[in-house]
Order: sequence, then C-alpha cells, then structure tokens
Amino acid sequence: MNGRRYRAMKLVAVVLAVGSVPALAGRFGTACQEDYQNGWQNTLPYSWARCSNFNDELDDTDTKIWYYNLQGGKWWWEGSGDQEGLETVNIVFANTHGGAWSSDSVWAMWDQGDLAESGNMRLGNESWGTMIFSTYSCETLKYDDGLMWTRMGPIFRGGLYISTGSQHTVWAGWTTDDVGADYADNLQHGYSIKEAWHDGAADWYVDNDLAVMTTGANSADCSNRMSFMTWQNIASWPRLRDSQIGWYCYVAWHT
Amino acid sequence: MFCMMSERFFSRAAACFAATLLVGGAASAADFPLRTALGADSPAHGVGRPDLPLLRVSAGAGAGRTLQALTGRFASSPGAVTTDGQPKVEVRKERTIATWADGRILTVHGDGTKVSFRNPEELNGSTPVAVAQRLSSDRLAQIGRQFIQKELADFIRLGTGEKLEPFSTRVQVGGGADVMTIAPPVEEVLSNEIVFTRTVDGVPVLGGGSKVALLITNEGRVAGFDFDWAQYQPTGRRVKALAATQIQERVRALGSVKLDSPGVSVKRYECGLFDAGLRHRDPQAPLQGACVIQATERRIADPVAHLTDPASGHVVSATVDVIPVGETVEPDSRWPQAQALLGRGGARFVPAGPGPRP
Repeated sequence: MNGRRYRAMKLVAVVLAVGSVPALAGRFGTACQEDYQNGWQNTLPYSWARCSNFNDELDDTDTKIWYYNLQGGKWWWEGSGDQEGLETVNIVFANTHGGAWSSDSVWAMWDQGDLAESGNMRLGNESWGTMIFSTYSCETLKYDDGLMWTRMGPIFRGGLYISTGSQHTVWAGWTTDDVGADYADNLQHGYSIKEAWHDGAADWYVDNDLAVMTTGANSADCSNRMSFMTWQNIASWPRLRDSQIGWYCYVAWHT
Repeated sequence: MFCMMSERFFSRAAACFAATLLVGGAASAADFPLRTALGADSPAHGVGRPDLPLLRVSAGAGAGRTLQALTGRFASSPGAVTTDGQPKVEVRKERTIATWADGRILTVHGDGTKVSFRNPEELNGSTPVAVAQRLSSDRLAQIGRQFIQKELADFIRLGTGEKLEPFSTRVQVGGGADVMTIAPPVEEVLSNEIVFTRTVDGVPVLGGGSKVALLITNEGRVAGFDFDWAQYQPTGRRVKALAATQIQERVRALGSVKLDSPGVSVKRYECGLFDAGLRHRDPQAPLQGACVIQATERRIADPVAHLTDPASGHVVSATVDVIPVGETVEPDSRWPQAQALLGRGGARFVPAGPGPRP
C-alpha cells in the first residue's frame, strides 16, 4: 500500500470510527484446554495462565461472559449449538491444539477424538454474533496451499469480521504464558486488531508464526479492514455475510 | 522445514540445519550465522564451553525515567521513530504507556529495561514489494545496527566482553484473493523485522532477554522497536557445563515431549546463557546456562480422515522447554525446570483451569 492509498484508507477508517455507531460494549469469552482426556493430545503447558491472564486484563475494560474448558466443547463451537456458546460474545480467545486439513481447520477438544471443524462452524449470525475469533493454535490459518478460504470460509460466511491465529506454529511453555495478557492489553489501547495480535503473541526469541485473516467486499475493503479495525471501532464496520463477501485477505509473519 | 528426530539426530543436525537455509523461500525469515551455528553445534556440543559465568542482572533506571529519556531523545527526530507532540500518559503498576493521537505508542515496562515503540501510520504506509525485492538480511542488519548505535546507544549498553549480534530476521507478508477463485493469492512483503541478541565472551544469550528488535518498512525506515536489555554484572562465579550427552539426559527427563517419539520434530535446539527477560526472570536469580528446545508433534487425531487424505486427520502441538545445563543449578523461582532439578516448587503462580460449560 503506498502512502497516498494509505491516507485515503485512513480517512475512510476515521469516518467509520466517528460514525453514529457507539463504541463496542465488549463481551468476551475464553475457551481453553491444558490437558486432554486419556492424553489423546499432548498437554498444552501454561494454557490456563495464558487464558486467565487474558481474562484478567480484558476484564478491566470489558465484560467476561464466560470462561470454559473444552470438555464437551464441540457442540457449543459448531452448528446451531454455537448460539449458546461462541456466538454469545463479541470476541472469543481460545488456546488449544490445532491443525489444517485439506478441507477444514480443526481445534482439539478435551474429549478423546473430538475436534471442532471449521466446515461445521458459522460465526457472526446468531445471538450477539462473534466478531473476532482468536485462537492460539497451530496451523488453523494456514494459507500457503491456496486452501485458506476452503477451510475458513464457512466460519466467515456467517459475518465474522476477523480471525487471528497461526499459519504454522505457535509455541507453548512458561516463556509464552503472557500472550493472552499482552493481546488484551493491546486491544484495550486501540491497536489495530492485526497489530494487537502480532505485538501480543510475538516473541523475539521463540518462533511464533502469526497470521490474521479478514474479509471485504473487494480487495481495497479487505485491506482497509485489516489495517484499521480495532476493538473500539469494529462495530462501526458493516458485517459481511455470504455473497456480500467478495474477497479474503491475510497477513502473516514468518519466523 | 523441521528436522525429524532420530537416534542419528545429533550427528545429522548440522546438515539438516544447513538444508533449512537452502530450501527456505525468498519470503522466509532467515537466521544469521550466529544462530545457524547454534543450531548446528548445540545438539552435539552443548554450550561448547567447559564452564559458564553466573551473571547478575542490574535493575534499570525505572519506567518513569526511561520514558522521560526516550521521549526526550526522539522529540525532534525527523524519522519514523518520533515522540513529537503531546502524548497521553498512563501509569500502571507494571508499565507506563504513552500514546499519541496518530496511534504511536511507547510502552516502558517494569524497571525500564523493557521498552516497545510503534508508529502504525509508518508501518501501514510501507509500500508492499514483490518477494524477490525484499530488503536483504544484510541490509536489515546494517540499518538495524546503525539505528541502535545512533539512536538507542543510551539504552543498549554493552559491558566488557559483550557484543551486539544480528540473530534472525522476520518478514510480514500479505495476500488475498477473490473468494470465487481457487488460485493461491499472490503474496507481497509488507514489512521487515530484525532481531539482535547479546553475546558474552562469545556465548549467545537465549530467551526474551538481551534482545533488540526493529520493525523496518520496505523503504528502509525504522518504524518501531522493542528491547529487553538489562545490564549484566559478573558475580565472579562460574559453573561447569554438562557434556552434550548429559544434557540430552536432562532433556529426556524434563522435556514436555520425548524427542525420539514418532511424529516429533525438533525445530530448534540451542544452548547458551539464558535470560528469560524482564517479565519472566526471577530478579534475585543469576543468569545461568541452558538449552532451549522447540519441538512439535504431529499426532493423527482422525485415522480415517488421514487414510483418505494424508494432508488431513492430524493435530499439531508445539512446546518450548528451557533446560538448565550447569552441573550445579542455581535457584530461580520463575524457572520451573531449574526448580524441578533442585526439588523445589516455584513462585510462579499457576492458576487452576475453568470448568466445562454447564
């Protein structure tokens, strides 16, 4: 994006931000898992710290609606069950293992064999309507095989604004237990959502491969949303669902 | 590229990491020779020294004084790193944050040794370039070193025997596509990052401490920086380092995953001095040696899906372990593996998990 185009987009963003829609009264939910039934997945070290730190930080300015582990989580992530789960908040922060399959992104639940599959998910069209879906999970925003929209499109078609995650690997250990707190802090301070994730989840020693994905009516709209959507102004952007979505875009940081 | 772990891993490590460099795409991040050598040498030779010094970490000048010094330093800077104008300052227990109306933000953590600055207008205004036209690692190192020496010299101080070394680069890429097409998007480079670390008598400091990172536009302008940089003082004590085979035994005992298990890949196996950084270190504990291992495991979660399509059916986990490598280990209440070796609990608060959705 050159400087002139950037300034034009910024003007649009400012107009949107100061429009008649009030700043978001933020509702958030946190879904995390550290251990798994019968060890069917590896323990995810410090997941509880990552998530409770996110809660403690965002709680200062916004409203925590729920904080659950992923026992029996599949039903409230997928299908119509999400209206009693993910869809009841504006932002979801989750920490569990993930994967990118040819047709789905998947998130591991506690229950042995249970995975939430993106093909069964549609966010943004029920209850409060999820706006931001952030998962500290490996691979779920993989794009280099050209199948990103195949995997994540079903979720976005419901009107989800933006998703943050990883195109490859994010690392778990005691040195990365502050990811959630930093992300929340950046959201509170008006960073773009893209940069809030990058700055919050990046680590200058550990190789966190971070990615952010959003949609637009067209390429310019997508780029604009990617650069300027914040936790404070997100509600002022029109939701795009189904055929209103013409474009998807991503940014990623390679380590 | 990951290097598969096997009984021959340690002898193959050098070739494997060299291969990593060769197959990396033009938009990939890159390691500088210091880090490449670490990856090649550490599995076979540990820290590569018979012993390591114990170093004491000095407290910083304080968040308020550091913020004042930085805003003064950059008040009339013509560059993208500028504190020109009147910021709103928020003083919190753990950090002090200055924000400007145009989105610039300067955060000073704790005692002032950890700092972050961003100029989002400049970063967003970076002109995208084709992958082949991105700034080279050498050019980023040159820009970065010049900025640190000229602009951050008051904050990035080097003691006797210490050096500032380029460690790795990272790259921000972006792309997009019409949702009706299935062709992979054309990817462009949006901005660049370079990370420097400190060496002490040639031994690199691993971990979040002793790092300076610069965010650089495609035009070569520094538009953001982070540093976590305390001054170190010698304690006069040294600790004998374990041999590589003894380190491997500790890794087996304390690691999150068994490195020789099927499906496990080692991305990094690096040994040196370890500084967890301001927010993760025990301020009372000395710096000591460690090996840091980043390993992933690709586990088949849905065998039926995997049988139909080998690219499906899996779940990936990724863990980072920090294993002390001294024959004797110093107490460090924030470092779980150090405390475990000493048979002690830690001061690290580990919250309980939540319940299931009712």
